[in-house]
Amino acid sequence: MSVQPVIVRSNTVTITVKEALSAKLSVNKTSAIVGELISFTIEASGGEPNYIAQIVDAGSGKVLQTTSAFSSSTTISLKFLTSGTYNIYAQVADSRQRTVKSNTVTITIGLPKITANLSVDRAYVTVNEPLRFTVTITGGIGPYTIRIKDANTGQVLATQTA
Amino acid sequence: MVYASVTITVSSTPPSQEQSSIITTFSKTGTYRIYAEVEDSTGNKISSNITTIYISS
Repeated sequence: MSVQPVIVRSNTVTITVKEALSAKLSVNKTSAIVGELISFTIEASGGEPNYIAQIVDAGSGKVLQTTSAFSSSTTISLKFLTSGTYNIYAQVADSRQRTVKSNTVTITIGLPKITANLSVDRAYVTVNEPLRFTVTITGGIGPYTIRIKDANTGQVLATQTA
Repeated sequence: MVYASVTITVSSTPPSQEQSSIITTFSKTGTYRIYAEVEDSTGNKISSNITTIYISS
């Protein structure tokens, strides 16, 4: 008597291996002046969409902004109010609360250039006749100290904080 | 020697421009070259252009 092997097929189990969660951070500029908007683009893939990202200052650990949910990428704008160098990364979480850190970008924030223009309503006057100077200041960070000076002698004629 | 009397009035023009209006009288005749030196809160300092005025009797 011979024994015949019996082959039985089990049920099929499908295993889906998903791409690991990953994140990439990019910016539209790596240097700016105080108060200037910088665009941060976060791209996420893998894991379980949708995603939420936090923009984090690596130096202080402070979360600068949290995005709303996005499916693959999102862009937000931030401005820095203090000059210096900032190392920024994105902390991305998928819908299952798995998190991943992006690459770090370094941003240099400089002080805004300050300019001043002096104009006068007329150049010829008589003694004790009033004339009007106007100082127009752009850039910089107030308050400002304004000194009206005689270019020949260096004498300060007036000082005002504005 | 003080030879000028200066009054400064400041007004702001958003977002980042300040204008100072300055009323001046000079008590001595002569030619004066005047400029404004501006320093912001971070210590940045800038000199304006020079304006020449002529004071006669």
